[in-house]
Amino acid sequence: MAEQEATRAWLLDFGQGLRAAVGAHEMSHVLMEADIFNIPRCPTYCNEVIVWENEILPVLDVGALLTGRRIERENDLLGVAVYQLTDIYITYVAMHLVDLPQSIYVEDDSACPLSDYQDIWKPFAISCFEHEETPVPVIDLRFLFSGNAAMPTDILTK
Amino acid sequence: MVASVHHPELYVHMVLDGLDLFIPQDDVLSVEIIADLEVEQTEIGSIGWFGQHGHGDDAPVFCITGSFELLELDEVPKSREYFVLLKSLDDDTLPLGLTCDELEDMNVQKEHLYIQPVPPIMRTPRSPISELLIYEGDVACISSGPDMSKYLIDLSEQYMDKVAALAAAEMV
Repeated sequence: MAEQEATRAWLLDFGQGLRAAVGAHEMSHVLMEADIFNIPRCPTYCNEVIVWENEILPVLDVGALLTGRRIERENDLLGVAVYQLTDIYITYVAMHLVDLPQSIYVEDDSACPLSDYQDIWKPFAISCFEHEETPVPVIDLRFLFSGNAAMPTDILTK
Repeated sequence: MVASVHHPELYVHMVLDGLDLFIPQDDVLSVEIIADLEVEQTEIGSIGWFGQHGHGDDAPVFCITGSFELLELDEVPKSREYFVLLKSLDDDTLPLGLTCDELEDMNVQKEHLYIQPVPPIMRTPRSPISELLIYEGDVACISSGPDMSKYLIDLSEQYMDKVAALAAAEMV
């Protein structure tokens, strides 16, 4: 019998019960605190930036994007993620987190469909797997940050 | 024939409520002091008129917050000491004024400032901000003059709609 293959991933907690995973290579850094700058007239789910390695990175509030609600955060934890923008270029982005990313191993046979209550993830999930008896979506970072997604909560900053 | 000379590296650096805003000098007609403004709350939402620009009718001057919301005359912070006059969009429109707390010329090449586009996820059709840059430890916004003018016109139209709705409600 063939041995089970397992892939390393990072489990991210965005608050409001929203958890998702990215590939091990897609999480670059975790910042415990950073200077955050507000940019006027941007969507409420992404109206902040940070300066990291001399680059300006958008800071996404995934909870606000998916539910339309911003929550009071108890920390300034930011995950800096990286993805392939084109064949040549990579790009860095940041996301608010409520807890440190958790390193996990995903077995090949743990793939599963999203639950009905996870419909809000559909536009951004490339796959899903079961972890601790809960379906966990895997985020398509390039699509999530492309600005092309039909945002469920397209709310402008007042 | 006189060819116009463009200086894409030159900007007017404005400060509004602590927000750094850069507008290309090519898009700016002049910079003025607020004392030269004929102050009045107007029906179009501007806080006054400026008539010394030599381009026909008086130009309306608007005041917005650092989060780009329109302010009425009685809300204008005392710190607003200057305004820039943005070039008119076309022959049929007037130059528009925008107030600020501080302003200075800025050569982004000389200052070695690295301009980056607004990340796609942050873009909205109504935003006049097209680019960002790191400036003295802060993140500054860049807007072209035409984009800022269109944004001010949009704010003005919203203001007039609000005033009309209030007037209609009072008549009921």
